[in-house]
Amino acid sequence: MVENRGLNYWLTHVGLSFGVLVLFFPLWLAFVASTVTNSEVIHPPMPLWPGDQFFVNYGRALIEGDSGQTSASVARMLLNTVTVALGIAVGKIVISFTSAFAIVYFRFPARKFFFWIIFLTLMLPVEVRILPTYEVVAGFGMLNTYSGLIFPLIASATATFLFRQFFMTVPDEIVEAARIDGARPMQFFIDILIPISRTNIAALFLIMFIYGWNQYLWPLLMTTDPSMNTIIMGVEQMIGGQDDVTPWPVVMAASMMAMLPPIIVVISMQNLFIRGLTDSDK
Amino acid sequence: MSGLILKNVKKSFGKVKVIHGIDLEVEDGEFIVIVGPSGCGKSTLLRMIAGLENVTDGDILIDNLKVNDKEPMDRNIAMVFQNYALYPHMSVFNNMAYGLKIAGLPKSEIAERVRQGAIMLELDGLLDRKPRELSGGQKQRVAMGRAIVRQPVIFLFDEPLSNLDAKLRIQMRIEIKSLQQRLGTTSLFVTHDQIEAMTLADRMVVMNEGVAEQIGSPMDVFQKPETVFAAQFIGSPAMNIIKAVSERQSLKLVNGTSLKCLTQSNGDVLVGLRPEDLKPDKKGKIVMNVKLFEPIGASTILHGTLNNSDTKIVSVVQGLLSPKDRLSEMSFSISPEAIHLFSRDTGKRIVN
Amino acid sequence: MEKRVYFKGWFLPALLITPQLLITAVFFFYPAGTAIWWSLFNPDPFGLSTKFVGFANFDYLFADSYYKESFYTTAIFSSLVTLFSMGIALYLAVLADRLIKGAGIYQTLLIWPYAVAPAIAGILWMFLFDTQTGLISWYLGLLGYDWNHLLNETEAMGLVIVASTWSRVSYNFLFFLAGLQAIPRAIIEAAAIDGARFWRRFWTIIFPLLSPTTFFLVVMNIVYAFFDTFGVIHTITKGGPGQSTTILVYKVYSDGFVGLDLGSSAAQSVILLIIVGLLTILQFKFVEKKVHY
Repeated sequence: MVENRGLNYWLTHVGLSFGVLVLFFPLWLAFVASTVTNSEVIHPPMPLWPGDQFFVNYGRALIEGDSGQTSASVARMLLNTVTVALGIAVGKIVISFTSAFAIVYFRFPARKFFFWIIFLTLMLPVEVRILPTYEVVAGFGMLNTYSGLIFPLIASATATFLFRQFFMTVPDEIVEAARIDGARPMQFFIDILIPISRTNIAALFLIMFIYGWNQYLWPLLMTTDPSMNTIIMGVEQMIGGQDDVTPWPVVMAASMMAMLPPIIVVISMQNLFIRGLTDSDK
Repeated sequence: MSGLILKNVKKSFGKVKVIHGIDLEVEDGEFIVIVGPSGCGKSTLLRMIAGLENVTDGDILIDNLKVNDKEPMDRNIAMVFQNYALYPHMSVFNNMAYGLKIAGLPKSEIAERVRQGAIMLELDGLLDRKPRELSGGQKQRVAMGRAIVRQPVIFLFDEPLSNLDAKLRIQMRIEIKSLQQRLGTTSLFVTHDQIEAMTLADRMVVMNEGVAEQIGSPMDVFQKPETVFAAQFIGSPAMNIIKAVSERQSLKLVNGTSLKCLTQSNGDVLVGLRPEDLKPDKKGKIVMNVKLFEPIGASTILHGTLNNSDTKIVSVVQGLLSPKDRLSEMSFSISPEAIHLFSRDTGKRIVN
Repeated sequence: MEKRVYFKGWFLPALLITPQLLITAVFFFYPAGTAIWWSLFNPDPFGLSTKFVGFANFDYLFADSYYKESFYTTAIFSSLVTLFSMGIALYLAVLADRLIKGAGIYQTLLIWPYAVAPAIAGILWMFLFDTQTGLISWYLGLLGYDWNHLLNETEAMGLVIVASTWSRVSYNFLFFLAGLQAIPRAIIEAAAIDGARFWRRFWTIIFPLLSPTTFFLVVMNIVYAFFDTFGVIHTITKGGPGQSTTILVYKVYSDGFVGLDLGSSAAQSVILLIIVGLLTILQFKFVEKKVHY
């Protein structure tokens, strides 16, 4: 690398730090707002330094939500969100891994056809077919259920595609060696393919978990029963209309709790996460 | 009793025929090397024997049993791959033991077999390591260990040495040979390297474009190549091939030079002269316009053309030529026994 | 691309592929097919009967000034979000890439907004710009600027663009940084020895070599701006004021779920489907090319 010297070096740091601060600013204010009283927030300017209401606001959000008007308690919503995010991540990985295995490692009639069927779903998000999907889920009586929240969101091939790409990079000789060692397809699958894919599985798990956690439109339509709310849509529900008074500190406490789990996951496993993300570039 | 028999084995991928019918009977304990340029079908042939490719036509018999439709594991074979194909997530021990575990052997026996194999290959200190913690030579040994512990009827080697550096390749070559002699297991070894073929083989199969050009001991192939291809593929530098017209035992080379030989024939032929059989001789009839001297230590390789023609020829002269001996025109003689004759139509050796 | 080796049999692979096939059939193909089907019908308001109308829903849409406006809004919105989020990300990535030490720390400090849901991003920014209590709008008021994104269309558009950009910068930054770090150092060093100064090196060497990443990101950001920003818009403006921030996906939602105009909503879905389909094809063409790159 061509080294920076003197002034340039410091300008680089100043530029980056400025970017970091701008990105950080809304998060900081949200945190501050979650630690002060409502009257401090609604009489501008709001403070820039945390107050002493941390436990009051977080406690209220966790246990009461917005006092049962339109949303459930944050604790309940977090439970729902964890369930849905795990369901989406696990479900998607399981169905994608097995079908990618079938497509890559077998020759069977109509394989090409299935291949294209599955790949047609690439990149077409649930938003595009939202109304008919709603009808289908309603028809199954799956409104306000976890499965109704999960299944439509795993009906796409992104993960299948990524696993296929990865399987293609596994040397043929590994399969041949396994066959000579006498491994049946499922033995190869369990003893060899899953272990050598574990980094990819983990990376995809992270991405899918965050994807599931951050779902908004679908839970918004699906869950008319507040006890099935997920946290992301639930926070929005806590904000009052124009006439209502919004309990901002509680909303911001709920927002913080909605953001922090995925933020912690991303930061603590960032190498794995980045690898999974940039692999999808291929 | 014969370990392996191939009867008119053929292979096509769709309409493309890649192997045109190979017959081979391998004696028990024999070391067979299949050698040929890339794309000649040698690896495909090996993979058919392993059961990794289907046989289009013909039969493969192992231990006198037809195995065409058997799964690899039911054929009693073991295979060593070019890129080793070790399972990256398993320790050396588990890599070697995996096949035995699937076969359902008792744990104690697996441990014993792996231990013996590891000692034989000097891997006993490495059993807990993962493949990524091993050097190229060690990976190669593990790949062989995995084959040995299965105690197969046949070892199959698919260019196992080509990923190693030159020095290690020679060392492993010697190890493979001595191991095979110790175990006495029938072995098939695929390579494109004629030196590996010469040094390892009891018999070798020279393959070209899906055809076995010659099957025989290394010395047979070297001394009596049956085709122009075999003649040029085995031996380094490659045999000189010169167009000529023959009348009984006298030859007239393309540049007009006359030579005597022992083989009788009439008409258009190809004359094969090994570079090392061309002896410098001031009165020699074969005159070469030398373009380049390549000293390689014990000997010097001379590149040039046959005078009055553009036919390229090469010769190998013992020792380092001093500058005053490096003439732009040099004469060589060759003894009549060392002249090989091939039909110009079929490329086959002419014998009487 | 095909594997040379494979297993035989059809039952096991069929079994393995069934779950995905079932789920995609029920939750993807059936609804997508239904959308196409509905787009050709005009259900009466009581839901008692439907009438086949051919392409009338589409004709109606293309004649509808609201829909055309929504197209225009989407175009402005997604191009500005793409431009800003990629521009800022590239700038930050170039700076981070210049550091020999410390790029990792900045990566950590810049990566986290990716984990924030667009809807939450919308709430954070709405909070800052809230017309009554927002900190930034209050300071703007001090400067004599009366901020009100609930009434002013340009301000509304500006705010959703800012929030969407904020939540997208991280993603682009990660890809740009990875792309920059994949450029062989020797090339950059050679350019430096040839006497090229930094920005000249950047535009003549680095940026062209980065073009595969850039192209990939353009497509991904357009898709993001088309769909994922629903949360931002729904939390901040609900498509308003008027229709000024109603992008296409928001209109599908509001016409379908709020307006209950199934035929029109379905026709809009089909149009979106086609747009994303085209983007996907573009992406794949590019992926194929990149293999040789």
